[in-house]
Amino acid sequence: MKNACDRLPLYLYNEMDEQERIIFEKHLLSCPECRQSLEIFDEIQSAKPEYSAPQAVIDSIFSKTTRKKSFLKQPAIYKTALALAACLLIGVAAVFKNTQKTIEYSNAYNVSPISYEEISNMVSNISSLESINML
Amino acid sequence: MMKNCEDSELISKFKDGDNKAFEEIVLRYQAQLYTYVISMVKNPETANDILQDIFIRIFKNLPKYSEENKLKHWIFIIAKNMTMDFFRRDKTRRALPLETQEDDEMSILDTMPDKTPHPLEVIITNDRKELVRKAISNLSVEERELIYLKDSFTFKEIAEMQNKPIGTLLSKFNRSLQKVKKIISEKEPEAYNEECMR
Ligand SMILES: [Zn+2]
Repeated sequence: MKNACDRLPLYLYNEMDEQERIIFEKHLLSCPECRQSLEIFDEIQSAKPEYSAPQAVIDSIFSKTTRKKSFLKQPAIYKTALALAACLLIGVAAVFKNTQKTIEYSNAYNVSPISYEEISNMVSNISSLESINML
Repeated sequence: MMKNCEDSELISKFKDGDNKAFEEIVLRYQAQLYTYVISMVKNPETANDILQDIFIRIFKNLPKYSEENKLKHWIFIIAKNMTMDFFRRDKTRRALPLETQEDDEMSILDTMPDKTPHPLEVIITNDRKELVRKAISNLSVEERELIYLKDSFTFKEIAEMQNKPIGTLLSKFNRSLQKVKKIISEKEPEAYNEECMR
């Protein structure tokens, strides 16, 4: 009964109709190979690991899809704030570099911080650049 | 509640701009997909990356997706393609044959196993279960795939998805059972023989 054995997987997953199932169960009584396969199948089912994706992966999926923050989609105010932050960083870096070059290390603290006027100049430069881009 | 929504409702909500509907799809299918991918690539880090890529692709393509009652099929087809992409990339990178040949497997198995225990194989629950797990992971990619796809689909559905006759799938499945049986009996001869002699 080679053909009957071939149908075993359908029996294992309960994918036979009533009639075929009854016939197959008769076959099972007379077929030690199928009975052994049935045992192996049960073992596979209980040993087979099941996983769930780590929460970090789920979060990362969301942050790359539904919660994606695109720079272009940000409101103008955030862009300006970002630009300002960038200017400050550049400003500080520039000052720091100059400090190292020209002033004795011990005098470094005398350098005056970047003035609001300078920042506002930088920001207006950036804004005008942005408005050029927008055209 | 989104949890009670049919897939088709989630799709149309998403198409109407409701991102929460997409997140529900992710939560609904992540475990099935993750188990499926990890069973094929056998490495959690790789599975993490592939799973992200799968959902990013689904997110991008879902607005154009029209067969709303076959979401699960579609998702698993994407998952399969992306996993196979990984094997292709991996193959070129490592210049090693990864599409396991049915006949060679046993010999490959004999030569390479115990030196580098796979991360997944290190987790020991009990010896027999562990042995069965090892046996499963020594099946070919296609055989493992079938075993794990069976958690989510009927043979008829898989035949439809993969465009294969159902008979081919049934014999592949039977062959996997035989292989697992063989691997177990080789690694644990006493216990298995005892069982057989009864
Ligand atoms: Zn039989």
